[in-house]
Amino acid sequence: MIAAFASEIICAVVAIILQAVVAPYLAIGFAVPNIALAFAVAFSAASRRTTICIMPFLVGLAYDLLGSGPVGAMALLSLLASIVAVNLVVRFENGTPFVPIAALCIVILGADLLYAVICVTCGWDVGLGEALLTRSLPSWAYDTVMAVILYPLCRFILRPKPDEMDLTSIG
Amino acid sequence: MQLSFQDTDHRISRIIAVVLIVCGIAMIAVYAIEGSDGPLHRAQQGIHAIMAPVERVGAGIGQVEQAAEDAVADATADEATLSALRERNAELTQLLTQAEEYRLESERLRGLLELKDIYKLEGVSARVIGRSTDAWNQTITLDVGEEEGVAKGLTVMGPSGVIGQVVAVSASSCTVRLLSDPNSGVAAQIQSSRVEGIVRGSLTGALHLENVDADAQVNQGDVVLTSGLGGSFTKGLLIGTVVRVEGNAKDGTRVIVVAPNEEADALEEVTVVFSASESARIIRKDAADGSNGSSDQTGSQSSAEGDGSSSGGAASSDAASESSAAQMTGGAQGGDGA
Repeated sequence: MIAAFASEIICAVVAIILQAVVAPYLAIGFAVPNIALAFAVAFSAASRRTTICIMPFLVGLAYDLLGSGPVGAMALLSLLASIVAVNLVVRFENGTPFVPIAALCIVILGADLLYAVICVTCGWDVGLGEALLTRSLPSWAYDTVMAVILYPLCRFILRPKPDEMDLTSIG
Repeated sequence: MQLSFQDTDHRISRIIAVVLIVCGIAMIAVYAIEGSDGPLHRAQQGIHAIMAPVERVGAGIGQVEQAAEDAVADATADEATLSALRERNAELTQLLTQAEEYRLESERLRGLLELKDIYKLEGVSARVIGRSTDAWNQTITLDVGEEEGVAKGLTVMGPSGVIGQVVAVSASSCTVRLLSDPNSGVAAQIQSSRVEGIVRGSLTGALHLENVDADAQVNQGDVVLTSGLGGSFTKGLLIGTVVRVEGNAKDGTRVIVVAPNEEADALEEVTVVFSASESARIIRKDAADGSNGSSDQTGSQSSAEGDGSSSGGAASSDAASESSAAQMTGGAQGGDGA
């Protein structure tokens, strides 16, 4: 339990550092990967934990503070996206990788679209349609790729350790 | 019993989720309502200051990435490309010589006419140590801050044109909002016709010249400068060149697209420009202190007053005007080229 918690914290810190240091240099056009969101959603989906974890909120908040956008926006969206992702994966789990990938696609699309809405609502002098087309969609594609890459890594990190396995199931 | 624990866990989880959602919404609302000096904005600026040293590592990554791209491009360049580059090099050398002639001629004319509005460009050089961490903002982080005399609102220039404005400052770093950012706006004028307007960034990265009189004639190739109106940007600095005029001015659909003279993406070093009058004050204070140059600019901007008639100030102004003229000439060429 403690090991899982520690690994979660370490991964979150690494994701935030990558967001601050590496993400700006991975930009393709105007699409800068949102490693924080991708990690939060992928980790939550990989954990299959339906109980709420504060990590997605904190990672999103760190993203907000590192950037110049509205503080609280990505924290809120990251939390909501994680909750929806976990519930989708748990509800439609069928043992194939299709369900988690589809869940990641859907929740990240929702988060990126809502982020555009929040930015425009907060006074950005741009049209909503333009914001969705020029920022949300490219960001969604990039973030989804990042999340799909991070998902198996998170599954690997969260795999049950031998001493944590349910011994009653043996024999 | 186990089920009961799970129920309790879920209930607590739901309460935490609701609290966090409310916190998130409240923060967004406060951020939207508060000014740039509000607690959330200040927290953001504080984090930027803390992360500035970490972002320097990223600058190294950027250089490695650029070097790799260059290496690949060099390795795959064919003979035709090399020939084209040689021709371009010869052409540029010729243009440079011509530009130098224009610069010298411009200086002589300026001296003869005793123009008072010569450029007293004074600034501090800075290295780009970080770039925007999100897709929604076009900002860069520089390695100079309050300790070097940088203040909020100062203009930032690349080698040949304005790239943005300082929007946040910490002790040893500052954040610059680029002209291409949708939230940026700079009072501008067209050099030839003196028509005024506002250059705004957009989500597509293009600059648009807006609020231009419907009667004003704007042509492709017109050079756009900062007008200094509003006092937020230093006057007379090159922004870019008009590359496209779309729509009709009469029915209000005219869109004037300006190509920035400076591509901020590729910049590694920039100059933070202090205002002309402040620059003169710095020089006078330095002269009064008996120090040479403008090495100590901290605090001097606001401390000294005068009329700018000292020889030190004049010499510096000349040097600055040379620098500005060189930038202008280079900028115009760049714009034409674009």
